[in-house]
Amino acid sequence: MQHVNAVLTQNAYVVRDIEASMHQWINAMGVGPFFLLDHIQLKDVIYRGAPIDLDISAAIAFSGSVQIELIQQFNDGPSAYRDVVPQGQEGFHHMCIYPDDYDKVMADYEAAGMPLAMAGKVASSDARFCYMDARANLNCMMELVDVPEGGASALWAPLRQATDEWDGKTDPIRLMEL
Amino acid sequence: MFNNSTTIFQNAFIVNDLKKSCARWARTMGIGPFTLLKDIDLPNIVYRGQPGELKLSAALAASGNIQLELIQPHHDHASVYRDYYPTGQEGFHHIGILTDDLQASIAEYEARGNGVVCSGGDPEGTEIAYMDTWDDGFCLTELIRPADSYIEMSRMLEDAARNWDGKTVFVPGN
Repeated sequence: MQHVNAVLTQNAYVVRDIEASMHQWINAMGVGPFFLLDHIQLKDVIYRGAPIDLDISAAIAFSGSVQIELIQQFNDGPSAYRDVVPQGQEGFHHMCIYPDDYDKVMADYEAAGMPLAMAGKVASSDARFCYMDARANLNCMMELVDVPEGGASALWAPLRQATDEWDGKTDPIRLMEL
Repeated sequence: MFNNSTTIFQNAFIVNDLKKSCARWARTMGIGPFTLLKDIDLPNIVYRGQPGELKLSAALAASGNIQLELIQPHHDHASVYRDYYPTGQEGFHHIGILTDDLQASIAEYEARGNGVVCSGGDPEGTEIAYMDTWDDGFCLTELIRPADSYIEMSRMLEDAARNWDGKTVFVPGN
């Protein structure tokens, strides 16, 4: 297993109603604003070896060095999300890392008994992502994203800045696109 | 409204076998070394308004700016741990937030309808309160008013992570 020195940068939760959950996180948890990726265009999504259609929205916010991600799956049917959080329920789902060598780390996870649950690409960028089923080891899924850590930081930098500048009221939910 | 003040300091999981879980996090994620806090019996526990008991072992390691906490409860009775993970179950339990005014922070949560599940402290003067944010955030929120000893321990965890050999799961002496 590669020694990845993981920095835990994301807490991701699967939710029933992303709109309601964003407001709960803003009002009860004190985290915001949220950046909403509405019905993300994905492609080549493979779940446990078979292609699936997947219709999800995701919302992202920042709390110190941790990114909070809320995910709602709209379609019925199995997925890496439903594996952990059955339809109609909500809860903690995954953390995320940006490995330098995506394919090697994916193979390392498989070899260590954490199988690939689901893989796909962001349609606009072809950026690959996958969920390794690490529940037996780490009590959650682990997402691997094939973007260099520096690239991820650059991607999120404007959002972090907007978070730092937020007054706690204005535009608590903002649409964004990948 | 918090005015965007929440900064996550800690991520905590409930686990069944503390040492095994530490080894898995170290091997799989390269997070370590872990400092073990064995057989803690926290004093001054108040659980849902009544005097309570909280016996546990915990392990802490630094991952960047975040502290990873793994908790193995040593009891089966209703508690801030077992209410969410009955004996035998494991999973994500709480995010931890530092505060320098615990009572004011508790009051903020209570004003929004998120009450205290459990509060307590340690003999060195660190005080904690677990706020019931489960329905809103799918986890609890632990408010921590750290004593100097707690801040010192956090610093030691970060130093240990920085100087870690990547293999030894526990800090020497654990």
